[in-house]
Amino acid sequence: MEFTINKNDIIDVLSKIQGLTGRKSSLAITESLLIKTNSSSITVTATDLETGFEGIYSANIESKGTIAINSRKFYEIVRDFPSNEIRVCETENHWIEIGNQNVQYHIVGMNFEDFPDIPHIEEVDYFEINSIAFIKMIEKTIIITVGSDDKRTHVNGIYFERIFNQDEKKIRMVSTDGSRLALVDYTYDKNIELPQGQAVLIPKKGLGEVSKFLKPTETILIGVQGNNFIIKKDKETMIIRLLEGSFPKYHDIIVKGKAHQIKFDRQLFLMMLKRMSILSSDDYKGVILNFKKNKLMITTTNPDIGESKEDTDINFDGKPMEISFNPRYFIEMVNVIDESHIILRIIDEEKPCQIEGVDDKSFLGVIMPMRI
Amino acid sequence: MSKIKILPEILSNKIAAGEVVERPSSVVKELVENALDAASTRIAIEVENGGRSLIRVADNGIGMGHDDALLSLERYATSKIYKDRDLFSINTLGFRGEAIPSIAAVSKFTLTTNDDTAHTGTEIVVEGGRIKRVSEVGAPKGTMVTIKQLFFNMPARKKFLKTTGTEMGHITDVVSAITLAWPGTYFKLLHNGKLVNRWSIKSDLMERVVDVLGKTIKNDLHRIRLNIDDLSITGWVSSPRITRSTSRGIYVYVNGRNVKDRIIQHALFEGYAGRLQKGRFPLAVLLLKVPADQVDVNVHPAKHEIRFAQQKRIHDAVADAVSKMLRSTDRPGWPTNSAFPLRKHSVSEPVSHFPRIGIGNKGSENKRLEERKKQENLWEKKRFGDLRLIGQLHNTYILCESDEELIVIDQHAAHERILFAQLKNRSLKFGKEAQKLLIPETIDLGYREADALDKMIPGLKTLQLEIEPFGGNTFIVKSIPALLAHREIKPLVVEIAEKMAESGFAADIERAIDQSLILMACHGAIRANHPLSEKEINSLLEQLEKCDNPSHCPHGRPTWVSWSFRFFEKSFGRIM
Repeated sequence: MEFTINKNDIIDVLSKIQGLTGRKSSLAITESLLIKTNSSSITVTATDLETGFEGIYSANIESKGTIAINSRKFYEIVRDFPSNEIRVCETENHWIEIGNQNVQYHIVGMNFEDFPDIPHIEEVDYFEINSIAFIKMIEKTIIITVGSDDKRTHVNGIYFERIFNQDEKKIRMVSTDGSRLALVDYTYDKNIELPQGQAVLIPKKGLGEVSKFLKPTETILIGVQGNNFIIKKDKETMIIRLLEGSFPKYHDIIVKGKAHQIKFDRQLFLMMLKRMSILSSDDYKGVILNFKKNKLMITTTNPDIGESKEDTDINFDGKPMEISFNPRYFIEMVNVIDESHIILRIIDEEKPCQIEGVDDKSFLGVIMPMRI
Repeated sequence: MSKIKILPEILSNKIAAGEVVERPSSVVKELVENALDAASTRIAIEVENGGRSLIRVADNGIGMGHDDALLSLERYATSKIYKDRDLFSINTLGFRGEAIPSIAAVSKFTLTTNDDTAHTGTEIVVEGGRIKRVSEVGAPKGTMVTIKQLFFNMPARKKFLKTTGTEMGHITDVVSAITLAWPGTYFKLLHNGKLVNRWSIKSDLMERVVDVLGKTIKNDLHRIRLNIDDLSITGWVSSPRITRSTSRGIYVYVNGRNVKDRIIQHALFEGYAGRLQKGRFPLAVLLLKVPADQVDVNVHPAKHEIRFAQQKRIHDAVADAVSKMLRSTDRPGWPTNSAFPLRKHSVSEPVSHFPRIGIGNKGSENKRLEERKKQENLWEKKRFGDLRLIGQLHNTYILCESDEELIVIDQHAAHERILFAQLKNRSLKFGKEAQKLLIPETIDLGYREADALDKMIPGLKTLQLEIEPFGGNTFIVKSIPALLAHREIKPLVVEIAEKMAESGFAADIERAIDQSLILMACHGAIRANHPLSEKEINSLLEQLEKCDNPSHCPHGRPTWVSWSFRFFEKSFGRIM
């Protein structure tokens, strides 16, 4: 096989694809890309066995064929290639020649037949979503990360569900690690067709990888087929294998019951938390929120470093209380709220605290207190 | 005709022999234990052909009269217990009354004994469990048992015997192991007429210890001595630098009986905590004296296993004794030539102030000096801070010298130990934070595990792991130590419950927290390939000195190694 590609057409995707092919796996060939020729384009495929990527890029095809080439090396060759046009040619025994008159590489390819099968996608009930909205949903939920040896599926996955009420249709993504929870809704115009479907668990890792491929200004199609979650763009398709398992019943947690509602300027609150967490360390991470009449005092104590405190005026008219939190949890959540003001909904030192924007209710964060 | 029959006695003795008499060394063990139970002070063991042709154990104990001798061949005949109650306060090594008939059932057996009440002794000859001859013979006080052609009527068992060398090795192991617990008894072991070893009464018990653990480690054994009320623990444990890959170097004796006990082994490891690398075993001889009524030895036919009435007390006492001893000995104690402790930055070199003792210079003056030095060495242990710094090797190792050694310190391991000690100290002093769970973790356990976990709930809560019973064998975890907030708690809780149910000792949650601290210490510690200034090195050494366990990093790897100058002198051929 032989084809010529334009560096600019492919360099961007090759860079992003490294997240998939760079992962160590027991199957060495997953560090390779599969490149297949079409009539006037090539199809590039990569997988880490959980998340698959397939993209079509225009190319000048001299002769047909399929190759499997080390993804990292191919990317580096293309990235530093001196000219825009790059010729790729398979000689024999999976040897691949890349170059022009001056620069030449001979690369040992792998047997493309060993490349794992990417699930065959057809007849998916896709639905549209604005890619910027989808990227935001992912960003706001993957702030809750997973420990490397955590096997809990409800922590490894993001719960994705479609909700149909009388007057609204929405998709919802929920993420948790047992101590906190983040929830994002995306509401559709009620005239838009949204196919029904079961709620699914999508791996956070896969979603994180996939969001890299999305550009903010496009409309994409998403859908579920079998045990795969599919994201489709014009020329590119991403497939994430779903996790099998259940997700905790989170509805009680997000009920907005009776609570002290305290409004903060987002930026001020964020800076206050940052100032107070300067003195925290891995083994002393907690800060204490002291609520008094119309006053909030945040304090930190670290036996090795010292103490800090900051006062601020708030609207609070309840019994004085003292609640400890991991400030990092707050900072991460406040960071993804796009509004100027936020609301904390606090009950007491035993109950979870809810956090959301003043106007935009599409995001809700829930954080459990600490005990110090 | 009924299908179930009572087995003839010869057959049932053979079956019992299957449990008790596994190989020649088990015969030796049973016979020597009998001799010890008979209050002997001299025991001679003679073996031929690895025990296949002959095993003879002769003692000078109390011996038996004619009738007793005959009775002793009956199964369940014993002089060691009489009543039900005796079973719970056994002071002797044997008590089941099985060994003699079992051995006699599978060999050509001769018992010669004299209890000195009659003028003559008794000799009984048994073959394959049948008494062939009983006669009066002249014999000294005591008992001699001669076993010829072991397993002559059990060809299958005979076939499984290993080579003479192997079987003799087992016998030597068994005998040396027994001698450890009986310093007041003389033992002699002969093989094919040649003396294998002799354990005299006068000899230091240490010599017997070295016999089983190996001569080379003599200087790396540390003495343990502990008495709490009616419990006494003595013995030797090896420095954590001397380890084996199996537990075979661990000898545990309870009231003189060599046992393999999980509890004591666990306690031993607990004592070594933080000083052993994963998968390594220390060497140890532990002799426990426990009131007889607090040990149940009636658990295993060969009595390898026992049960303690006060498991936890014994466990904690052993762990405590070992860890205390290691804390004081597992520190660097570099020898010094000088009579005065070295001070850093001292103007003069104190080393050369005193004349060295050389050939032809053995005046009394010098001798006195030498003695003084020795005494001083006992009290004046060299500290890390006293070492003279040579420099840094590969920006990774710190090179130092004492008066007689070159010491190499791994800067990463040393710093890791310092940071870990600081973190640990902090968490003990100021308590731990807990993260409450938004979604409580549910844990389903088996009955035993649930029961075990249930009892641990209050203890775990003080470590910030808050668990509540949730009906049946289900529990919910409501809050977890904040240090573990990033990881899955369920496997840890299940492991704790399982270990507790199985052994009575929990896999410590404390240890899991330590793991997090170790990780933090590891990340925070200076790396290899990191240049250090002299000031930094000195402060590192000073801080290391203050640690409880300065010789090991929290993973159990050593923080320092050393070579004596003798080693260099030898290597360079300066001395032979």
